[in-house]
Amino acid sequence: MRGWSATMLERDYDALHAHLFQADHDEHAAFLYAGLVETGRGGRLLVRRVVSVPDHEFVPSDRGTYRQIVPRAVARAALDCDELGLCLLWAHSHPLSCDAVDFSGDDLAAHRYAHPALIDMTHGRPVAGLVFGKEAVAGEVWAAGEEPRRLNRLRVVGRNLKTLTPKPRHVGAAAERFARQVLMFGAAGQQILREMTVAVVGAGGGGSLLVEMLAHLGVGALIVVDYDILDETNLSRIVGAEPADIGRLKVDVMRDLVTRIDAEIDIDAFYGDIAYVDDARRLCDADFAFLATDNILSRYAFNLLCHQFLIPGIQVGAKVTGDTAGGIELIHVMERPLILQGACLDCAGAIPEDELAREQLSPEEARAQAYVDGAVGAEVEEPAVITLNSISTSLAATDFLLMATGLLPDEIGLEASAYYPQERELRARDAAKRPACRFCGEGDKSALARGDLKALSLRPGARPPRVVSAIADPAPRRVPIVDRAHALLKKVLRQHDHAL
Amino acid sequence: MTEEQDDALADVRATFREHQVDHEETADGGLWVIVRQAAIGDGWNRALIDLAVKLQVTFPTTPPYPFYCEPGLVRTNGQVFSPTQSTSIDIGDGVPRTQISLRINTQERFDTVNETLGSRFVAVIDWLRNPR
Repeated sequence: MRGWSATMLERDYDALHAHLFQADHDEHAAFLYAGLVETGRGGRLLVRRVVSVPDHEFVPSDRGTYRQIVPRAVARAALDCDELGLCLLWAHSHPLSCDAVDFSGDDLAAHRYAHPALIDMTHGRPVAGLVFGKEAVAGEVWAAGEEPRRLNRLRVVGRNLKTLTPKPRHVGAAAERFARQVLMFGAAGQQILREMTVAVVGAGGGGSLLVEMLAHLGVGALIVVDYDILDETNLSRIVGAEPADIGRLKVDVMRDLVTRIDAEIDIDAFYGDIAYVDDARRLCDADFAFLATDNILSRYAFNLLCHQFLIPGIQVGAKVTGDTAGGIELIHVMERPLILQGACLDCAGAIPEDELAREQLSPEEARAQAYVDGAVGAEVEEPAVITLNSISTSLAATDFLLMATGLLPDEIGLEASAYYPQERELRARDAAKRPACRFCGEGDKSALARGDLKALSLRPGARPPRVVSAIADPAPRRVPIVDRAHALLKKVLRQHDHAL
Repeated sequence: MTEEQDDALADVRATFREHQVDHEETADGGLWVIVRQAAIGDGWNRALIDLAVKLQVTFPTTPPYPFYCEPGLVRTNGQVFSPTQSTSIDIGDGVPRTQISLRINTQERFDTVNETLGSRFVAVIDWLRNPR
């Protein structure tokens, strides 16, 4: 285990901070119930619930320490956590500490006294003590059978991403290549980007643009996942692709692209599909994630992954809709930030269940259901144009940049945005969160912040390797949008009707 | 099996205590849930069926649909209902089945606050007892 960190939502952090730092300038305490994810890079505690400890249960200690949480409150919290299948964290404040904080000897003694019993009470799950300064946090994590380990950082996920550490971090000078962008967000901002791991799901038209922008921005580590092979039709929009790349995995093309831009970036580009558990789990270490695919199953998986592991993200897409006459009815591009405390993609209606179900049917099941429910045609290729992809990805990458470097003003929301190029109009798309949502809801069964303590509801294993077949896959059906003059005429006639 | 599938299976078992309820996991993360020997009333060419549904790995975001039973389920009077017109289909596993394409609450997603898989099974059986 390399180390421990924690992640919590901004709204929970704000509530915790308000409770811990009150006008009385005294110490206060709270319990945090948390999910957990463990990877080769370390363990991460995912705060799911904040439970304030009332002052009458945080009292002067009979063991000579300043204050302690009364044992019955600790026992109650441990039992709650155990029932919910979560880890117990207990936090208190040092109100005079600001950007540096550490435990007192009494605090550490309390850990030694209480943590072994609390681990037992919560079925062997890790237990942690945290102490907060106004802008700092220190933590000690106890896991069964291991020496106690210090918490490296607490990441607060919200409109602006914030990282708290036990003491201020040294900010080094940024490399000369970043000199112009550092003028915007400073060397500290550049260091934040360099320390981040960002995932991009989909290495097609949108994903490649994101990968290119993130590499130029100087993000320190990139994870890119896709299962597709580059073909000739991709050359019009996948940045970094050349004719010689036809037949290669798109993720291999992305790896080359990143290395050409900045060889110091740690790039993990792999064949896979986040609809499968093993592939999805490879994204668990990401600090931020983008989704740039055109299927609903990956949108479902992304929504699940982001909420279950508290990974903020953004979904991007562009769509050209044809009308019945063969013309263009609508062109629009979408950018949907997921800051994990508003409506999720499902609440926003971006995961239509009929399409999600259809994508998972075997050909035989699809045929059988089509008999009753209507025709399910062959796969139809959708229009795809680099300029449209670039709008949504630029919006998304810019939002990411502002969030990561703390440049989003407080009064600005982060709703989904839809841009309509023909109308030259950008519209916010607000959506209401459903309290019972299985992704973002706060019910005991929702996936939010449960990490590995809930099995991922995805296909088992990893996506099977590609089988090279002597028989070519049938080409998707192309339905070009050609009759624009006809559509325009219809539009004019319709306007004429309205005028009449 | 996902947590959601596991909970749904437990709910079906609780709803049909008098019946044998079987399950079978599929390679794609799906879960067959089968209520054995469900009584579907008069008017069909059999009185008892094994009623099954395959829950996708994305359940309950994707609703339980369609339901299946043994092949060849027909009305004794020859009347044909749209949901049960596929009386012998193969969904790719070589097992012939009757498909019961019954959508309940067609305009709504599977409402996990007010509905369970057990109650959906009950609704399908109710429809079979009184098809319309």
